[in-house]
Amino acid sequence: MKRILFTQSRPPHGGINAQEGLDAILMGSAFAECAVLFQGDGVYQLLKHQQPERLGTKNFASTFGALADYGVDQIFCIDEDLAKRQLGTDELVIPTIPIKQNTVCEFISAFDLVLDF
Amino acid sequence: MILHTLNKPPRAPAAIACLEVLTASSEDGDSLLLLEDGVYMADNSNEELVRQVPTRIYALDLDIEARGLAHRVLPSIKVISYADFVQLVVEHKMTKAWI
Repeated sequence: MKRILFTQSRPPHGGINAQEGLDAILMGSAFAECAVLFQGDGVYQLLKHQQPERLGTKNFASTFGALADYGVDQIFCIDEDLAKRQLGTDELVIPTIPIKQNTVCEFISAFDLVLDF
Repeated sequence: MILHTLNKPPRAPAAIACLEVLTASSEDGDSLLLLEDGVYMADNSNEELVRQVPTRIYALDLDIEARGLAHRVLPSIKVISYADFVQLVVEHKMTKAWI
């Protein structure tokens, strides 16, 4: 089975990338073994206590909790990207596996395909 | 062997993230292709920034020309065509877009 890495690199509510990426992950999980890497400002997607409802946008952060039910249990963050934004793993909606910035290219290369959102 | 593509100018968050990761972790055979607004990194004024990038760097000719940069491209950057772009995609194991 193909192993696909989805990268989420945009903050959650300024555009459609984050939501589209999440939808793609959920669909992809039906066909392939999927993993997710949150990088750069994409780590803000995982922040607890988001309340975008009054903006009229969906609070899709809660959907990340369902990824495990879709068989997506390999969820990664770049350590340095969390640290730079002073985010602790206890402030995120789901547990993530930290990877170091100096291993990112090697990490990506281990997959068959990378899809970037 | 990753072909990294960058379509944002050098001070955009995507570009900063791309350069940080390339500097920290790129491997032999990795390449960086600049396209769309990403080609601004190829400008003379970014010599110091470009010197820190450990991979080979390519830039798309039509995007360079469209932005009036043809006479300002750093000599270390190889200007390529769309056909060359396709060839690069074929030669690398995967393509990662820094968007």
